[in-house]
Amino acid sequence: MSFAIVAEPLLGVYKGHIGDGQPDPLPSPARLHAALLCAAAQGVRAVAEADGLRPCDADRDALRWLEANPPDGIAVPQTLRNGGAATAYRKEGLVVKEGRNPLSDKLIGKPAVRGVAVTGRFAWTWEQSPPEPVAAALAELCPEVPYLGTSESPVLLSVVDAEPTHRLDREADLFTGDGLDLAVAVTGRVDALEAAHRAASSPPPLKADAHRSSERTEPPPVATASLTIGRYSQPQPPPSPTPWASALLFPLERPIPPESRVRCAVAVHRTLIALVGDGAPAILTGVYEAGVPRPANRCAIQFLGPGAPAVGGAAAVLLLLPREASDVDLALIRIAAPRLRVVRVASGPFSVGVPVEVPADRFWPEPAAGTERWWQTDPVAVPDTRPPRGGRWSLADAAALSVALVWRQEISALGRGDARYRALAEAAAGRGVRVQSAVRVMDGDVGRYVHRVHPDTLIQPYRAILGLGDLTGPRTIAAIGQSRHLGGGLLVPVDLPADIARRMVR
Amino acid sequence: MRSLDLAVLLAAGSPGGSSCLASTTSLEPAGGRHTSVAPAKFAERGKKGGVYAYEQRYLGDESRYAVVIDSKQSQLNRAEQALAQAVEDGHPLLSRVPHVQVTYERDGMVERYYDLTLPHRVFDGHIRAGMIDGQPTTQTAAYRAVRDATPANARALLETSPVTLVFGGWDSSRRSRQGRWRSALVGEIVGFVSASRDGTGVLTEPKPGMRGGARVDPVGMQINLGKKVMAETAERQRAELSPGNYDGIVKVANGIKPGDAKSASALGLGGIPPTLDQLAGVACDTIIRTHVLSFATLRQMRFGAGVEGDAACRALLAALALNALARSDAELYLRANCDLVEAEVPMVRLDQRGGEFLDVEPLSIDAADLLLSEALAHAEKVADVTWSGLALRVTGNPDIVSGAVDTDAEEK
Repeated sequence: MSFAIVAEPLLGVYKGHIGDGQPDPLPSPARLHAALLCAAAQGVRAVAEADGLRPCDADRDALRWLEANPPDGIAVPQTLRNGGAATAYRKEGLVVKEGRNPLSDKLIGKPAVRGVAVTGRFAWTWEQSPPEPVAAALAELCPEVPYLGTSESPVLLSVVDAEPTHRLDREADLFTGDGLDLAVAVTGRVDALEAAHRAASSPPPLKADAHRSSERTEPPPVATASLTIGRYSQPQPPPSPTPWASALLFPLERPIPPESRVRCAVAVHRTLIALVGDGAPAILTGVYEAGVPRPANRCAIQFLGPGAPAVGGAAAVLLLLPREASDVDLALIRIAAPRLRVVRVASGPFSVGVPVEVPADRFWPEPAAGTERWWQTDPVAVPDTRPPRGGRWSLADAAALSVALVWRQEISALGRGDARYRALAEAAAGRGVRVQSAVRVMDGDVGRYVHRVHPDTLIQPYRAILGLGDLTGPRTIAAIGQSRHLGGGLLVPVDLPADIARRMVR
Repeated sequence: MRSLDLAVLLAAGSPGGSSCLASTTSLEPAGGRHTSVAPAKFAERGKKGGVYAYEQRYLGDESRYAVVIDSKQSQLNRAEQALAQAVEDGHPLLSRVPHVQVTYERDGMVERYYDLTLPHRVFDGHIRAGMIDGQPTTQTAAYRAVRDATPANARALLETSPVTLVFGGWDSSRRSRQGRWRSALVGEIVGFVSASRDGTGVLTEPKPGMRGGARVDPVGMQINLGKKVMAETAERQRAELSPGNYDGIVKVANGIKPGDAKSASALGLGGIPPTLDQLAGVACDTIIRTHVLSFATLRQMRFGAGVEGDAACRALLAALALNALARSDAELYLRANCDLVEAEVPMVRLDQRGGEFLDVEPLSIDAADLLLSEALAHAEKVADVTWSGLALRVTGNPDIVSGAVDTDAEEK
């Protein structure tokens, strides 16, 4: 059962400061803890001690439970950060001697507009309800909190249901990755704040109270003990289904050079069809009867060099099995595949080992620590279409369109023809697809990179580095572009340092 | 709809009571919805001239730009000013509200200032720098009791400067045991304006329109005077001119050569050609005034009167805050070209905890006076509260008055 403390900003704004006066974008768990402690130590639930007050035992237990149990999640509503040059000059209530003037009122200028506008409510959530006495104490304490941040942002605090938008990542590396890094109270925070309050509470000697000719504010030191930083991250949506469900990986006796891969893939293709024999499924042959809808992806044949990850230093040929294939078709292919032994090409036959089947979403190794996984076309990719008319169109757009066509089940776009191509490329970008370093490969023999194309299509092989956004996980094998089914456009991993990757995303 | 009576305030001031009372009023320009209003003008750091304070807000779920028509500080100043005015007018009930008076003598005239209107209320420098019965204010037992008051017992403040408890105050220059009292009442007036969005849907900050400023002198658009006439005219008006202005005119006059003449615009003569350099009014489609009175803040104060007595004292402070609010809300003239009227009856809601709210009738000034008198009578009875008007009489530090004169001259 979950538990949540919710704060409703009553003036539609949240105003607070952190550090050296920087605007606080949202109330942290530590600020909630401090506000609850203040209410516990001064409000109607506080108990008398000497000439002051202290939190009752129930409230102290509740606050200590908060220290041991930071919120598992937080809910951040939509906010709009404000600022601007408008400055309000106000008398500070101090009389000072400045410059040539004798005594005068201290006038200071502060930004007239600060804080963030808020629609909705902030919330701090726990996946498990606290013990009953703690829950009861917090429910009683919350309405005793008047403000979070400055008194210009009054709140209504209560214990009600809420769903988090961000969850505490207990394994987070605070130097890499994304999320909200927020101050969190840990064990000892109540004691630290109470000690700081006691230290600041003893009345000064009579002499020290005398009015001085030049006054200044004496802010008490900020208690920073028993605070830590917690990373609250937005949960990533589950990646889209992989375009190919699995890959049959055949070891090769020798690597196939990049410029021969299309031709070799065609040879493997023909051999496989022959092994399946009559009734070879269209998902393998690529030949569909008129009127039969074509899937986004068919069986794809790709090659890996010995340097590629996941193959243990040996070259390999892959048969990628499409997710959209029927079980019957896949069974026919799986029966025929182990019989693939020798493939004959003009440059000489090559032998193929016994295949193993690897799930497509667990094909590549995990990204290295501190890196983000991007992808490089190997050896090259070829655009699926000619450049659409009516505006600028780059190789990066062509690559984004190719990604959208591979993940066609996940990315849809309205319109027809060129308008649809543009919309698909934009939709891919909307899913976080980013294309960097797209460079055309100048080669007179485009037959090295593509087997058969429409006569109207301009062949523009290119190399590029891509980020696939939230379309897929970091271990998925896939290929893009016109030649993705026969030896081109394979996406092999490129692990970029996280800071460089973030800059590329921006 | 229930009236906001003493029982409501007592319940709100007791354990388990309301968190807050929120008052929301839809306003519109007195001239009609088609007219613009003049929002508060602010300085722009490093530049001459004024600017309006625009900020992004949500109106419902829609992101909008709003202009600050009256800030929280200004709204509180208006509430305090309303109380101060009632005290000055000898209002029989509000004159009983304890307050601190600082007097300065300047040019044979006595000037009076109150904790009701000084920026930091009872902790203001003018009070701390003064004398009470020949003794420095800060060294008197009565003022030290005010400074030493804490949430555990705020009795000294309640009986010396209750406005500090309602509107807040920070004893910021004290080395320790600083009084830090948050304002229990906050509020603002904002006007929502139209703003365009860029290609990505982000709002573009509105730019205020500019209006022309000009002065027509029917005698002549430019009036030039010779040295003698300009000096004599300045001398005749010397009492009305600031020292700085007078000195400047004399300096100009002394620089005029025989037979020559220079513009007498500094003397208010001649016209000023129109220029588009003054901020025009702002058209707002929605103007909202909001106030929040925090009972949670008041409940963080005790007065050494036991559970019932402390609740009575909190109810008294709440009644004082509501009285100030009723008086300031009744005056919707904010500044030139900013006359507003209420477009509908204010909506006043009292939080009842657990997502429940109680709608109550907005208070008129008469009803607010009645509520305050009942709250005071109850507090006298159960908490032995004594409110008898002027609590501390402070003689201001004469050095500050002389400093103020010099500063004014310097600025001009």
